[in-house]
Amino acid sequence: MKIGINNSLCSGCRVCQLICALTCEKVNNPKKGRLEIVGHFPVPGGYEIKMTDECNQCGQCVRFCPMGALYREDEE
Amino acid sequence: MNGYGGKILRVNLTSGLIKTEPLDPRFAREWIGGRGFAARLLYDEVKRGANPLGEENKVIIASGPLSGVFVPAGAKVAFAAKSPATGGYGESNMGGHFSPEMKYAGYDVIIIEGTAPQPSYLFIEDDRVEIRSAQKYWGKGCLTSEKMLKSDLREEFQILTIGPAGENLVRFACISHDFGRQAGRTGMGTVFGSKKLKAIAIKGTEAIPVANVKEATRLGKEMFKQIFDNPALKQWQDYGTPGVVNWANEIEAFPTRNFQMEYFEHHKNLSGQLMRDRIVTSDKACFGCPMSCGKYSHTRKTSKYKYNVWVEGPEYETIALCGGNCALPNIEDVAYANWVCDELGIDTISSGAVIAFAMECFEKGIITEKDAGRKIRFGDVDSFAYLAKKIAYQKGIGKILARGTRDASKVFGPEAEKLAMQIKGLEISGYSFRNALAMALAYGTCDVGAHHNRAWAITYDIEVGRQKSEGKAAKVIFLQHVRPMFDMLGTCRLQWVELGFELENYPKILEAVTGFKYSLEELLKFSEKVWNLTRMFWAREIKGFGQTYDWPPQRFFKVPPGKEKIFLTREIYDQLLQEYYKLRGWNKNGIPTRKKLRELNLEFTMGDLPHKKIKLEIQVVGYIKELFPGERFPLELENPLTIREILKRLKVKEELVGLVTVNGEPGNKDHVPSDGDKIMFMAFAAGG
Repeated sequence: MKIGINNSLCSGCRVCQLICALTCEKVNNPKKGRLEIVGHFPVPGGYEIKMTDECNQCGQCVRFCPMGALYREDEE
Repeated sequence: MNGYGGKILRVNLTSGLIKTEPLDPRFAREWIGGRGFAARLLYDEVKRGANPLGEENKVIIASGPLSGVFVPAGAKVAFAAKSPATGGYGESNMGGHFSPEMKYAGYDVIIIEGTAPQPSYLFIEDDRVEIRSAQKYWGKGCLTSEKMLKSDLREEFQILTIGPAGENLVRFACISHDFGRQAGRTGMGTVFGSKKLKAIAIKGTEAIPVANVKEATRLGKEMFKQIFDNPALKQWQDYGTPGVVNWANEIEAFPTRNFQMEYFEHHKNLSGQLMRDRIVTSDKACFGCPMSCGKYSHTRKTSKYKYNVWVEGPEYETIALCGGNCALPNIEDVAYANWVCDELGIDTISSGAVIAFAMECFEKGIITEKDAGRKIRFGDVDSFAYLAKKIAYQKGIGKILARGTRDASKVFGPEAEKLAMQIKGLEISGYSFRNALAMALAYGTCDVGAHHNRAWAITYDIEVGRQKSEGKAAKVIFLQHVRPMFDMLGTCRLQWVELGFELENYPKILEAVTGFKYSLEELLKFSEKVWNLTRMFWAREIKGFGQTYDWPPQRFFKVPPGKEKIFLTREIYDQLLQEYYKLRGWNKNGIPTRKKLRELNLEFTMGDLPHKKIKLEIQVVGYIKELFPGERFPLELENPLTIREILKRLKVKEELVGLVTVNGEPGNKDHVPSDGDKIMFMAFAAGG
């Protein structure tokens, strides 16, 4: 699968980082997640999702993203 | 230690000494985390009679075992200190990303002691902890200084800041985090200010050890899925807490013009739905939260609106207190008021209440244009911003208002005291309760002063009938035990409140994460313990503490303009309160009994029980005086009694006594007098 990103929907909750680290590294540590979330506050607000090169596109982050900011591109 | 950071960080700002102590597993098992840790450590570490703004006060910052792990909304941190706003137990709970970050850095608790010699901030990066100069940030707003710190350190640091209001010791100053999350209530930012602590920046990189990773992950996934499948989720993600603005008006519980009324004619301009269309630019969630109730907004300067600001919110509470209560007629004005408060570092709830109080004082001529420095009126956002700034910088009338409504009203005189909408010194938050008896009791008995969400009982009033009192004391107690459970775990309760999430989920995941086995009943029993401990904190700190501190302002017993009747009366409230005390195992003055303290293993607090006798002055008017020991006489009681019981003890038939007054105010026979009260008994026809 290929993971698509829609930054404008991201709420910055970091569930993707948590589930990624649990899935790929078997640890409860979002810092080990293979994606990064960067906030742009106070102006203009909003978040940016950055995938790292280590991402294996397993798609767990897509399953648990509550906002639809991460999605399967091949399903579009 | 599974589920925990494993360490307590102790920072003394006076000496500069920094220590880490291991978290004792027995302590963790008994007090769980968050609010439990905070309440116990505060009780032990801050000595009786401490000055809230003195070096001897401490701030306890406590995370919980479910913070930072894979559960929905494991993001809550508790801040506790002796409150400069109330003089009693002070605590505020905050979401965002700070609580998980503490755990990744290895700390369950941060204890701040002493006072720094100059403006400082605390830098924490895992084991590296330093007290650094905050000279360049001092004087700057909360949002501005957070941005500066993020630029100076790195984006990924989680930051707490205070604004000018905290520096200037405004009693309702907040701690700000993540550009719009606050520990708003009870003046926690004020205590930071008194310690010259401008900010804390923290970053952690370690994993949280989990007892059974596989099981915890399975349960966590199940919990997330339950939330995703809930049809109410979308509404929450779209509108957040402002989604209830219209409802609060429909049920007439919306604070309007300093609680004079409970319905705001412009409420449709403040609703979550309208807000989403007009000003929301994106959603903003706390750590691990699928509900994303935070909304980030931008108001643009137009011909109609004067201000151009970016702000997180407004939340429902801000809309209620700054909107309805100050009569601001549109969401853009409320967003601006919100931003003003956030940058200055004042709690939007208390600020809205204090400013509405000032607006009403002005309207009634208690404050003049000369006192205020300009005209102040309801509905005017410039009046709001003007007063907010005066308060934050302690200038002019702001110097008085910065003390909060209770103490400010004492300066303005008895007419103003009637307009101070507070309980225990804390301003009442966003639900009026003249027609909601459970909510009235929840506010009255709340452990930090009048705050709605320590037991959000109003939906129960609506569900079972607002006028009914039956069962409400028990329900309030139940809610007051559920809430601390979430606060101890370090998670948000909104999944349970709003999406009907089962409470039984929590002991299960707690066991998988920590390895500690608890039943739900056991967790709720720990909540009861915390509730009683904080009650004892009040009894220890405030001389004469008791039921009078649980009373709402007289305004709530009076029918507001435009209404024919209300359900709340003094008599019904007294009865509810006595039922509540009885169910809690407290005496008639609302103090925990020895038996209750023993049952909860709180024996260590017994030495702080008030042991003073209650001395009353009795006066009898009319022919019934012959039935009493005299016309005027003192009476000493070992324990609080109702008027009815006092008459019984004096062997006077209660039906012979027509009228009772307590300190000149009409009383009733279920009333429990406090030490020093003057009681007058009158016959039915006392004319002769």
